[in-house]
Amino acid sequence: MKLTIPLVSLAGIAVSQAAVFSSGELDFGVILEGGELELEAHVVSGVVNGAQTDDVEFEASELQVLAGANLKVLAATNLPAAGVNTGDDLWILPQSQAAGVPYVALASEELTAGDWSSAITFTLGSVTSPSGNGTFSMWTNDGLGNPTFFFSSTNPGGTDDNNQFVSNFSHDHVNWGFNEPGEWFVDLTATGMHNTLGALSATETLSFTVIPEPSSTLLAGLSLIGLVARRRSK
Amino acid sequence: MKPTVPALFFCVFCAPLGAVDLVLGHFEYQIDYEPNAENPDSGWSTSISYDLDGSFADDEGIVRLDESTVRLLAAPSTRLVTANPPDGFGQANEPLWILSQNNIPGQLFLGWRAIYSQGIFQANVNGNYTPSPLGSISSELLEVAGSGVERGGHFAMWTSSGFGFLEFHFNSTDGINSGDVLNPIPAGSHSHYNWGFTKPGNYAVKFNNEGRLNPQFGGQDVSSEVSLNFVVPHDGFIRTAGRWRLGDGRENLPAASIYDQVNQVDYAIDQVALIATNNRFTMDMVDPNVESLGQVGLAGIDQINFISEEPITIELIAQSGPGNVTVSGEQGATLFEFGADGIYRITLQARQGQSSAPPFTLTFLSNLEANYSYEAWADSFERTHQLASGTLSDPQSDQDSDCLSNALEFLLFWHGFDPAVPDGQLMPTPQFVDGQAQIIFLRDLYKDDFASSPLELAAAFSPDLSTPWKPWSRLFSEGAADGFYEDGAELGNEISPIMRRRLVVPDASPTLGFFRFEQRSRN
Repeated sequence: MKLTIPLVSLAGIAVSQAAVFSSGELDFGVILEGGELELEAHVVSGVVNGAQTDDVEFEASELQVLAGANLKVLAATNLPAAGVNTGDDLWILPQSQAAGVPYVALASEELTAGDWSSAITFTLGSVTSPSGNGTFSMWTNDGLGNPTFFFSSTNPGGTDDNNQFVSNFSHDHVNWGFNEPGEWFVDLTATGMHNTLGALSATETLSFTVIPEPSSTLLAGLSLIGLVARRRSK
Repeated sequence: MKPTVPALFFCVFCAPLGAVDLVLGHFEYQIDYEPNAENPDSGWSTSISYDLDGSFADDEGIVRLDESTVRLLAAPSTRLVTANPPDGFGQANEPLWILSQNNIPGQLFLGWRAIYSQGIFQANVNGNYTPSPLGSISSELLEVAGSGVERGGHFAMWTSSGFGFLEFHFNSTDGINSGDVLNPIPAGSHSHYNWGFTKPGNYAVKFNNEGRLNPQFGGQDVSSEVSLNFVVPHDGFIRTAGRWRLGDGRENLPAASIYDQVNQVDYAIDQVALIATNNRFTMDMVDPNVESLGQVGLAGIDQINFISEEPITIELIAQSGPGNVTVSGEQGATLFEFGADGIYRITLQARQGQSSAPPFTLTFLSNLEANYSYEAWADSFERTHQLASGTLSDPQSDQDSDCLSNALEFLLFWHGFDPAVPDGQLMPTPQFVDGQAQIIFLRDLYKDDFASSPLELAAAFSPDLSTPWKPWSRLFSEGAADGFYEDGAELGNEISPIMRRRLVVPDASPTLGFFRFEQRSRN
């Protein structure tokens, strides 16, 4: 369901989405409905529009993920895949859960593995950054802190030149990186080979708002936005 | 043609499994709390949980296992050696075993989930409690014990995010103190951590979960202690020198075991590779009348009842391998020398007077490592049987026409299979263990690491040969949904990459069934 909503200003960033996810656990995951693959946003437990929200699904394009100013770090080294050099700003939605910030995963666990002859592959599509020149990236860290980059919008010379992440009917928390504040739109496609339905895919545009500095008006702004969601079918 | 073995299952008295070994898949250490006004501390419940549909995204299908009955195994592939270990944990160029915060195929992906309802607990911020509509608890590390610790091993749990920043929540390296705490653990939260260990062995990790109830639930402090049991594998091989001890072989227990003096591990004799560096291996024997192997022993081995004073002799019963073998005594020890590189099986029997122990077979790798390839295996058996080079090069073919492919004989090597000898009778068959119909077999994770090895060992079941073969899941949670799953069946309290496993027959099994092992190409 598409929504028409007013623009709301958050710390100088125009927010044009229906619902803002600001903290807690969120999965961008695929489901199979009516023989079609769908990419959705599942709020496992978190805060949407300032209200605690548990086990609610949104269309992936209807949810805006907020990366607060407290998630800004200074790059400790040159990371071309993240579009930063030492000392540059980078906002990171972390792969480890921390209080008060989004904890965002890619998931395919709701599919039945035996129904598929391939794993599910998430592929990064076009990325619209605030300046037009920003870099969106996604990676995981191993136990020693070493990063493995899967997505990079401007330098896909990381581990996977194809900007792909393979999800083996699982649930994977990752780091999401943005090298400038503002509103970002990220096209993501999920594909897989179903045993009887053949090749299936779903593409959605994810949106993220990166906040440049702390704002006391944030929650007030959030409260103006109506929550529109569909409950999970049990 | 796949080998098919009829299996008579008399499952009227099948009992549920009492213990579970988890080695791969997504599981959660789960903390629940239900308010109980009369006895607030009794409100806790903890478990190792999994989800029947593989998704923890909703509350449906979650199965809780009593955590005291679960062993959390670090697959051999979790082992790494690095010059730059995490600061304060492990040592440079020494092995570490890490159950990763990332979901890595073939490994255990263990999360931490607090699913108690919001509003029960006060919020705990740095030890200060305030009433809260959400609430949180904390978990304090109390103790780490077990054979891994006795060997000098340490345990830690940490996260790595962002630019690789490592945040340790627990680390026993510098002792256990008030800094070893995970706080807060918010209601409804879920997270994945790195669980690290620095030595092989067992680790019983004891936590204290604690929180303060909101005033409407009484406002008391409540706590509960819980232990998680981790097992880190040993090598599964002994290099250059070992020590054996003899058993009586009763009740399917081994007739001998091999003791690794360096690591103080007792291996079942069919689960250890003896690596003969420079084609030599020395073995000495523990005096059966002076049992002094210490705490790390292979459970259930009874010493054969030899009469003291009389000498014990070891008799060579059979041998196979690509070269000559010389066995000689040397200062109370037995020296094995091999005439060529390759795989050797040597069957021996101990005698003392009129008493004799059951024969047992030692497996030597002369100038081969335990992770030898299919090609090295094929080369060794080609030379053993004077076959032309390349005869066994096709894993899918069946050189000895015993209905077992070369690949299957490679994967099930530890059962004694020889690709040039018809030996289908060695195929493991069903048996009852504690009233449960099971098929015990030996899985070599050097040959199939559950993830990236070229060949995969799988098992399948059919009740009547006309019903399509149903795969036996290696993943406990997948299989549990349908009842067919693989579990651990180790004899001792230690594990290695050469694992003793069991295929578990579903509770509602038929009285007659068929199973088969299959080899698959992973690429």
